Amino acid sequence: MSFVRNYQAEDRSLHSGYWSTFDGNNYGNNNRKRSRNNYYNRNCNIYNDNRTKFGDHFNFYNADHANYARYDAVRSSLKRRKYSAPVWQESQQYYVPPMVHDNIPSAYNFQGPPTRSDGDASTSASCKRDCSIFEDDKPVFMSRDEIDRHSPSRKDGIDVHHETHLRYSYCAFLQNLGMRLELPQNIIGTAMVLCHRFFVRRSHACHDRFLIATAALFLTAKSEEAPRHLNNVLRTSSEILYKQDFALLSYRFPVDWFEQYRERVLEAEQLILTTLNFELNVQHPYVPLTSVLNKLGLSKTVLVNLALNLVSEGLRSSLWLQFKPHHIAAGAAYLAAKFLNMDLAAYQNIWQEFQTTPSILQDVSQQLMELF
Amino acid sequence: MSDMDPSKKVADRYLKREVLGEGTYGVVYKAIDTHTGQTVAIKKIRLGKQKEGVNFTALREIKLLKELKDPNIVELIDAFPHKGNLHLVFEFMETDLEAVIRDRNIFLSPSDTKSYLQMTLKGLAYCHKKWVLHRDMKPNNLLIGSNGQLKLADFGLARMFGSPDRRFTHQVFARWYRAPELLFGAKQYGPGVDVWAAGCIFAELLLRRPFLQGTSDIDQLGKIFSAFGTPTASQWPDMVYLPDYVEYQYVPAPPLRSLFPMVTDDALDLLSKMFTYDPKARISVQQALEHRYFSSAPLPSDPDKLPRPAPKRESRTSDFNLQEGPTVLSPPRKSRRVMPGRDGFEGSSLQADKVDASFGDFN
Repeated sequence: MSFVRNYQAEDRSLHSGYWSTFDGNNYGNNNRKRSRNNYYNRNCNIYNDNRTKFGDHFNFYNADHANYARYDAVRSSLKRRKYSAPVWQESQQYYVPPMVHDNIPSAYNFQGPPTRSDGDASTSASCKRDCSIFEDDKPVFMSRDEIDRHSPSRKDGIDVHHETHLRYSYCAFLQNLGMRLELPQNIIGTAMVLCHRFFVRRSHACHDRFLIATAALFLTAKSEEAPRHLNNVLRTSSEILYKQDFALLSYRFPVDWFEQYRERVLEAEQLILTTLNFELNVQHPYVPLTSVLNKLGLSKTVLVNLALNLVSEGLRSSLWLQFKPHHIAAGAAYLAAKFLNMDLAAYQNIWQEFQTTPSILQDVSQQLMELF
Repeated sequence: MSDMDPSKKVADRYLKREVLGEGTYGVVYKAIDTHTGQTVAIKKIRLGKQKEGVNFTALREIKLLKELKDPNIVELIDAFPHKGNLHLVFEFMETDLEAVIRDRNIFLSPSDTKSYLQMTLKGLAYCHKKWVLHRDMKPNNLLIGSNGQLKLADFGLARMFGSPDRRFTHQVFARWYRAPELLFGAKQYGPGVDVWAAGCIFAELLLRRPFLQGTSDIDQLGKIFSAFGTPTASQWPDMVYLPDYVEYQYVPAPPLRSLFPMVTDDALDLLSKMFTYDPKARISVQQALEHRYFSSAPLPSDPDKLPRPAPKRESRTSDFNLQEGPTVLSPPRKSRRVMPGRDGFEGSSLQADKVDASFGDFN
């Protein structure tokens, strides 16, 4: 089920989220040998001088590339490039930005893992606050307020509304990429959640979300026992991002563009692993949702289908960072029942089965509603 | 080179000591965590310019060990990339069950055997409860700590199971520990494969040598059938439908007592249930733990009272005749842990047995 959404555009500048490193902007004037660090330092600013509007009718599951591309409709030759920080630089140190210790929410005592590089990892001025207070050993559940206020992107001038749209855009990209690679929905969903976890720890200003998303899907497919060849992933993602057949891209870019793309995706893979402290396990609400509704004799009903679709839609949100799977399942069931004018309270102990409370139900269903 | 030599320090935190062993993917070092003073084992996995990114087997192991937290499963303390390699930091374990079984200076009482088997099954039960198949059960993957606690290790071949039609590779386990359904090429299998391997380990503890030492898959089946008799259609109805099924000449089952003359009836009963041909009828790990073998006298020894091999510096190869043991004492395997005084016990180091997770078959 695909819902069409209307987003009210806001006049704001947007950085190209594409992986579009290899156009004239970078390769003119014989600068292709410029070091990766120089690129990184130069390109970390998310904003450029071009203004663009968000597109209306952003249809999340539609395979049309305009879904996520429309947010970044600036002509590529005019855009500044941003790079994910190199994981291992020439000195074989890997990038760990300094920790941020200000504005730590009182609810948690966050402490980042020790830096493991041999020397001081270099970072650009604009990425000084790239690493967030959420850097922790395990994925902790956070409140929406904490996610919104303490996201590292906030300190780089990206507001909540903007970050929400950036999140939607990489989720749409992942959905498209995953479907083209014929990956199961749970793997696509897991990759989305890993990206959400990544971007509460790292700023959008310093990391190309489509590069991170590509690496996240490649990594997730491997870790979930459905690996896809890296070359296939790279080809498909560049076709989606450039809306061109892969064969034509070779004419558009310099000879070694594909090798460089491969290298950057592999660096991004390692950056994701270190940022998430190798926590790749994601629990989805599908199992608790179906098992509880099964128990209540609602297994083959419209309610189940609608609730499952709501869960899939919810992947675009930060719900997975806030709630346990059975809480999201409960919220989806509650909202689906509301849509269908069903009274789930008639089923005794249903919310106890989901181990949830009215306030959690309200919160989850409210956030799911906001997606439409 | 002094201990504090910076070239031996890994990632500003771990002081590298001696090499503990070498595996397929790299070297295992002993190290000291300078933050905690804890002794650890670091598995260094070569990443290099891997064309498919972070090693698939390492990812699998990290992902599963992050989920599996149990007293009878080795703890993954940390994981980090450093100088083009991926480092996995594990709690340090002094020895492994293979070293205990092979050490002729060690006397294993029935209580000791019971304790080792119980800890093995407890770790395995936890894995199965979490829907994980280990798929590489063998004595040198059962590590033993300084407190005598046995822990399952090496989850590089492990997999989640549960989907009824999920197809896996049958090229798992060292051959001597491989269940008959795997040898017949089954691609759909369950926790029974780990139970069979645990049965082989149980038998090895009782005999103090590997129980079924086949030299090829065909020979391995031959060894199994000569020990337990050729399975009949009534014993194992699904056998004939397996991909690599071939008919073997019928051999009647000898009495199990003839193979294990010194063991108790309870031990024999548990063995026979673990070595049931039909995986559907084979005892589960949880049922095995509830078997009367573990509640009858003598009770399992306390882990800290279990015998352990002598430390490296005290080890004497002259203490016993290296020629006394069977000619082959280890299955062909990729990864060998370096243990004191075991040079004479190394078997064939052929590596064709445990199939690497290549891109052709990731299952």
